Amino acid sequence: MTQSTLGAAAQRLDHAPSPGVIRRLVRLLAAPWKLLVGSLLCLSPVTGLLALGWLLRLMRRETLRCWFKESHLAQAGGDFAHFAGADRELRACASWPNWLLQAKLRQELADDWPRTFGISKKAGLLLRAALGSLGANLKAGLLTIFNVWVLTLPPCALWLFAWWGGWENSFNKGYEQFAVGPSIALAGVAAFLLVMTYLPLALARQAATGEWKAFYGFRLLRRLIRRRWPACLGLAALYAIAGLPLFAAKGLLIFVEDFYPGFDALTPSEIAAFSDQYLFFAALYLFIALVVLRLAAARIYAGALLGALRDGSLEANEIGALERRFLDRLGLLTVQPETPRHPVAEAARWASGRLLRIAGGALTLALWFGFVAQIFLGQFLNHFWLYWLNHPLVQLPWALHIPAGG
Amino acid sequence: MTSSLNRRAFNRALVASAAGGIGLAATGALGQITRPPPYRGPNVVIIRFGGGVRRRETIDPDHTYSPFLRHALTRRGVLFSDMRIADLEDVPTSHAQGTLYTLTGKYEAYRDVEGQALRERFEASVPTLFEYFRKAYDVPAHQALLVNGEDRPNEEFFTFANHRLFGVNYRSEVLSLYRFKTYLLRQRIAAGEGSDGDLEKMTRELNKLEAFDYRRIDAQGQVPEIEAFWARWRRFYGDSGFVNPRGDRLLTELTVRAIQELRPRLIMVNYQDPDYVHWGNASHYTRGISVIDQGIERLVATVDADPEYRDNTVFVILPDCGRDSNSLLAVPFQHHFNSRSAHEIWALVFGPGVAGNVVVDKPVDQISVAATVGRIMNFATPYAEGPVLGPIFS
Repeated sequence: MTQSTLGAAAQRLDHAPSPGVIRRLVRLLAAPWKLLVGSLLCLSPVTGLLALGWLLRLMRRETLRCWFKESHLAQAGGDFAHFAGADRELRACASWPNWLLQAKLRQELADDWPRTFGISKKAGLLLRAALGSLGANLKAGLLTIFNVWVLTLPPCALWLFAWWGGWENSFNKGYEQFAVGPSIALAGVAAFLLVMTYLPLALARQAATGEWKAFYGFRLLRRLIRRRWPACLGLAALYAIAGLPLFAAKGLLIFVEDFYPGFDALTPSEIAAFSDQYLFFAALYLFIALVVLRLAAARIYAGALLGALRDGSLEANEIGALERRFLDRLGLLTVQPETPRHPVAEAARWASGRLLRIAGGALTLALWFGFVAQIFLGQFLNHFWLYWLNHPLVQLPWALHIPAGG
Repeated sequence: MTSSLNRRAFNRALVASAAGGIGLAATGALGQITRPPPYRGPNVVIIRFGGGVRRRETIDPDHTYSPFLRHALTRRGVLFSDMRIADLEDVPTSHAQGTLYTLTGKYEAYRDVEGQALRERFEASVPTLFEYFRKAYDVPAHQALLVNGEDRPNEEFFTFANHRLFGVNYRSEVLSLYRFKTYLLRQRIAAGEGSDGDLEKMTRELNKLEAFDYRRIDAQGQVPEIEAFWARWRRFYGDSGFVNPRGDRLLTELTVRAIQELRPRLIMVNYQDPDYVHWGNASHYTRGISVIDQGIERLVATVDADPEYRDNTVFVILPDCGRDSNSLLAVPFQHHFNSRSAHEIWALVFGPGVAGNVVVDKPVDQISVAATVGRIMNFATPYAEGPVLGPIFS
């Protein structure tokens, strides 16, 4: 089965036409267009939900693409877009996800139209074709935010209450309860740090399996994170760095009269125009940063899972059904046992690996703390209660809040 | 531990004796030559409507959270509705700075004495109102008072400037929780209260508090009248700190008791709590304003009920700085970033000899307050740069 499917796919690839100039041009223009739409959706929390779903679908594509690159097909010069496009189940992953229209619209209609009878069914088919991606983005967005909130809302709510209660107590000089606010805040920080070491790869797993419950595969994900801890450390650094411009965008607003001379004399409509521009650029940055972060997480997940399958530390029945089908099709479910090392060399590797892992874990937590510090410092500069519950790189991709008057 | 305590106590006693001896000798010698006259003019109560407030939430009749000030007190005096802090380089709009601009009548580019960030341990280069006053008149230190909050220990030491003709001999005294805590610890250590461990802990706490004293002047405690004030406070409220009023209400309580017990001639009350809005809760700002307003009402009532103070006390009320009106922020009330709104303040002056129910809407400057207080109390303020606020005398 595996070999025959692989053979058929390889045959299809052999006969697949190479991408033409027009197709390449369309692909080239599609990326900025999709980024632009994503950026615009990041201007509000409601539309941000669609962007969140789109990002999850992007992660799925990236994971599959990474695995494809490791396959014999890729080594034989195969193209992922063609491979995925030829398979109905993977068709949506052939290119970056669409925002509105169903992926590979013509192919879908060509496949389904002759088999669809009755006006209402044909209308349904057309509707699905017209809004298929919108629906997929919305569904993925809802499932993503549900999972993200399950893990992140409790610590973020602790921050919110710690900040509110702590300063409320400080204002009223409640010396007797002075420890309550800082204690709750620290508990929230500790919980958030742990969550963030887990969350990016959990999202990648949810994307790759297409199952929202896969997000909670704690045991498997823990193994993958331990396996790829240097990459996870890098991802934490990437988050901390990616958060800085957003932190700056939030904080810079308090200096507006310094960097925009005459701001205090602007009319309300001029202020609104300024804030629209400011928000757009913040959203543009946010969406690009999210694309980079989600792609990085997907790659780490793909590499970690494939590595674990290859060395036998993970069995095929532990992974998602879609993952298994895809990897099987690519012939990547075979175990490639490592050559046994000398016991002394193995012991040294184990000891150094353990030490490094501990140091790496500490550094990863420190980097996530840097990310958290931006949230707290940002609140000192430009406070908004919802910023406690929503960081645009973690929860809903909503770039910035500027009051209606601004 | 005991020996180090003894050595410390000995050193203190030595320094105190030497300083006291020199001080007495100097005072005695100077006293024979030029003893200043006693003060017979009006008392002045300066109220820092502090923590930075905007005009909108204070003197704007439609949006005020300070109804007593806006609707009752403005009828009794002159409201300068367009007082400003000059927009100059290195002249920030903040609390310590605004307090010193008011007290000295001069804008200075203040730097921390050790150049540390956020410490704000400032030393003015020109005299404060207290120094002018005490040099001009024979007024004891306990009748020239600063009343401070507990959140800004640096402001404990704004009692004198570095000017060679004035300085520490003419400084004011301070009433604050910081001063009470140091008083209490000294008393308890001297009385040997508690176990060795308790004593060690109290000594550590005292050292920590004394370390705030960047001007190294108050290690010996305060003048006897203030020490007696704290002794009475302690008898009434105890040692815990959990019984006395808190926040800006504490400042009101300290000022009322000071008026009743110390009979100050010049007193500055540095309210501060609206500044809590920095942390995002806008109601702390508006609530802080209301608490100050109620404090002012109580102070005015205290003065009005006192035959010696009634009709002989001028109130000068002004903010240390304004706050931002940044429409791009959910909480638009910062004040550190040189916005126009943070430079916009106001002042209200009322009392005997001051015109009533007058609003002056032409621009005036915060540094004019020093010269104006000098004029009211009839002492010269040669280093104050702002002109006298003339309209109050018309």
